[in-house]
Amino acid sequence: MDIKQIITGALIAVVIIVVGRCAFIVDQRDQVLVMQFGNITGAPITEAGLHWKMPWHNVVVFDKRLLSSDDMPNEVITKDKKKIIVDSFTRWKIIDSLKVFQVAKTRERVESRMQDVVRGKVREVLGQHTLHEIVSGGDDGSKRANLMIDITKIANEEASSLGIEVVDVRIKRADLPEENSESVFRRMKAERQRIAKQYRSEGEEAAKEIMATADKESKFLLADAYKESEILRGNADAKATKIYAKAHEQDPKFYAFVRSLDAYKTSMATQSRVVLSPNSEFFRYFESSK
Amino acid sequence: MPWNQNQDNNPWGNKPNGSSGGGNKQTPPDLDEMMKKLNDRFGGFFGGGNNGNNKNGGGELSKGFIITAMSIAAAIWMASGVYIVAADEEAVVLRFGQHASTSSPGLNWHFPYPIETIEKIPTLSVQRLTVGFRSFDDGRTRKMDQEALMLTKDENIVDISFVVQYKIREIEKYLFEIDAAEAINTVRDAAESSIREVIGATLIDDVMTDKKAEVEIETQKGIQAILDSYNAGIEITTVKLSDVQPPERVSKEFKDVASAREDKERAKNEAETYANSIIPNARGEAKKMILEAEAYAKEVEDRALGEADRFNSLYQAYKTAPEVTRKRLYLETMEDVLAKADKVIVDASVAKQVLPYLPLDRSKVEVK
Repeated sequence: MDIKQIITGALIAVVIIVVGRCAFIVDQRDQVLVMQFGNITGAPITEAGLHWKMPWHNVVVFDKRLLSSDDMPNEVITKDKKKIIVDSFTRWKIIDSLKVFQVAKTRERVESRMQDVVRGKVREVLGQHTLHEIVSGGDDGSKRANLMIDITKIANEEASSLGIEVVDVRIKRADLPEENSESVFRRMKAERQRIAKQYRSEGEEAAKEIMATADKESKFLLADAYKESEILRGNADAKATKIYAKAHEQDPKFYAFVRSLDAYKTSMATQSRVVLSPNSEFFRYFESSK
Repeated sequence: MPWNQNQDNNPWGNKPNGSSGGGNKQTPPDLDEMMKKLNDRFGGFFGGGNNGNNKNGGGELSKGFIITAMSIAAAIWMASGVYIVAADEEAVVLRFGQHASTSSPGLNWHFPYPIETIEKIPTLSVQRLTVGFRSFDDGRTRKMDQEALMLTKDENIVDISFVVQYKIREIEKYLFEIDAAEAINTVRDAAESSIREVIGATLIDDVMTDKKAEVEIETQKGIQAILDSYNAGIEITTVKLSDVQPPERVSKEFKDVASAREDKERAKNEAETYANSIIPNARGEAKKMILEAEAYAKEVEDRALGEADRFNSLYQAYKTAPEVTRKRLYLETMEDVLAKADKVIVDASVAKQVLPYLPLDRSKVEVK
């Protein structure tokens, strides 16, 4: 190989390297700034595809997609002076990469500045609402959703100067701090005890009613039956009396006589000791035959 | 299909064959440039050599060799674009980072790197995430109190764990609108926010009893709405509450309520048992009383009738000879009575003195 060939080869290699440094790919998910010696040159590139730059240019890549940012839980005082721990998350987008680069250089730094803004707005807006509104959405149930929309709106207004858009701020958790939870638990306990007691009392009430009703019913049954049986007996006695009277009326004296004889027969048991006078009618002929 | 499509659109499909004929006309501009570079480069080496040596046989040979080597290299490069999309996946083809097409399961081909790249996403497989607890592959679970404890409408705290299942509905949105690597956290954040909104509007007793299904439906709607507002391309397929219970610190009291409810039922049942035994008993007693009374009535009446009849008959007979009948009845009775009795006959004149000394203690005494 002569020197000419070597030079040609070297030239080709240089061309390839230069072309390689000039071409760059912008991903669909990214937006790119082209830098010349630490300064931005030209407009941000947001269109995906193959792009060209000078070999000495550098590129800074920013995300174009919706980004998530989860802040640490922080303490907020509500309008009704209750402390709550709020854990919120933010969805945001880099709208103006040039501005982001100018004010914060990197995504991480702009994110932390955005979090400061959001945290402040969360505190501000929640401070204007009661715990009930924050947790349950107030009486009509819409406050919670609305206050999140409010936070998003005002956070976005302020964050636009950072070149970003705050798309959504959402309260993930709004919990009571430990000491307040304790009182909630105490209240829950008391409430449950009350309910348990109520159930038991209701049970007793129902049981007593059922038993008393049963007692009453059985007494009614017995009383009715007693009444009816007495009537039956009475009627029967009356009938019998009438029957007897009708028969005996014919000769009361004879009845007394016959009945007395019957009575003697039944009342004198065997071996009864009878002391008799020889003057009685039975012995009329005992001592004389006249 | 995408394979065919690519082949149709792709004049490079026959490149390895065409290159021996020097058919570079068909190549697209990007590759054209590259091939030119290559040609230039080798042309520089060997063209220069040829100029000096003028139709050297060795030069011819090495040129043929170079072309063959290039063809093989090109073929390998082309083959590196073959890829397989599994049955539950879809793949997005990016041409210089820009979304070019979306391919379905099967054997596919893309322009090799660096022109095109692909991203495979399992769009058909259902993904699962848990809130309130984490389950591990070995079957263990760990409770996440922070996620699980939430305030209800009546400012009680309830402990809820649930499972969210989702799948990727639109791969383009999923890949390009949101941070796909963070997708699970996006769904989790949306899920936590939604369930707290729903539970915050529900009373604790409703959550724990008959409103579970409602909570599930509302939460699913809420998550879906949030994700749709993010253009996430994710579809929530189910939200299932796996565990709804009172917080551990008050679980004893809640259990006691449940047992109180049972106590109530038990007290009622016991009372019913009592009622069920006492009433039939009384009914039986009542029937017995009436039947006895009826029996008594019948007995009394029949006796009266019988005795009256007997008296009548006797009286009729007596009327015909009263004096004699009286005597006879009297004597017969006395005979009968005294036959069985132990008799002491005492004259009335001495009765007063004697009576106290008689051994009368063992039975009744009748003085006639």
